[in-house]
Amino acid sequence: MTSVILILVAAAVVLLILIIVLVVQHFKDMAKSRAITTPRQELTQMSRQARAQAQEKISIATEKEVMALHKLLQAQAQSISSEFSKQLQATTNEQLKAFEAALSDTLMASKAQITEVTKTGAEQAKLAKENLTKQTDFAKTKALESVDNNIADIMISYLAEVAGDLDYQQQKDYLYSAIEANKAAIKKDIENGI
Amino acid sequence: MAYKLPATIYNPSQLRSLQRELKQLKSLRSAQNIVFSENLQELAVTNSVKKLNTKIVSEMLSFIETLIGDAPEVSVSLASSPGNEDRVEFISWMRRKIHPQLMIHFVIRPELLAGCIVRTAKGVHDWSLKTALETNKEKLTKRLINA
Repeated sequence: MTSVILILVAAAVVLLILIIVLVVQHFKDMAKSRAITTPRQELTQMSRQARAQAQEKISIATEKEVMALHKLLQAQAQSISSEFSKQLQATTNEQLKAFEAALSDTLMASKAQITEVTKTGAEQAKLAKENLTKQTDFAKTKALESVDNNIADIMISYLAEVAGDLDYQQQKDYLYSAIEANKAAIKKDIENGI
Repeated sequence: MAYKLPATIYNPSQLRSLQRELKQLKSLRSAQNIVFSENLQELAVTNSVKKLNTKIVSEMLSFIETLIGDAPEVSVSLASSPGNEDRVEFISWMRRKIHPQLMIHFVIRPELLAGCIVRTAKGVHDWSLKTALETNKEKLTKRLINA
């Protein structure tokens, strides 16, 4: 019980001190606000007010000018943008036309070159074919000539190899009949030779 | 006396050999102990001469020398060599068909394959298979191409 009372007393003391501090502070503030101003101070204060008003007016005017300028700039920008766009479009169209013309020329040139190349290729192919035909014919002719020139030798060597040495008896009848058939010519040669 | 020429004597070198032999015999006084050549013996047998005396030797020499100067010559090229019998038969046949004193020079040429080539002083008569093939090579080529 005693301790409770002590605590309550202490709290009451603290509260009282606090109230006193607040009252003192309140009176100090009131004394400040009610302090007596001098003419100089008033002039200074008026000057401050005028400056503040002037600054406010300047600020408003500046803001208006800025707004106007902004609008003007916006208009100019739009105009410039439009003009630039037109110029750009014209330039682009011009460039596009030039590009199309150049492309067309290039295509025509390429087409002509391709045609020329194709034509040249066809001509070369034709020439190559003709050369091949000529060479083939030449080789064929040479082969035939070779066969033609050597056929007798080939056949002779072939027959000699296959038949071997034909015996005199096997060809005797042929010899006699051949000479018999041509004896008049041989006799004539001999008579002319004597 | 007209002498006959045996078929075993068929080329000019044999005639010249006989000529030399007969000249030697003619220069000798006696023909005793002398070995005669086969050609001379054949000449004597062909002409039924049993004994050689100076007269017959002179006649034979004259006959041979006449042949050396006048006998016609041919060259016969054959693919294969005939045997002696076939050779004699061929020479006899040629002398019957062409000329009784025909001289034949045999040449063996296997490349002819078959047939023969008879050459005279004036011409060539070619019946060889080789020449036949060469002459008709175009036909052969055509047949090969067509085949």
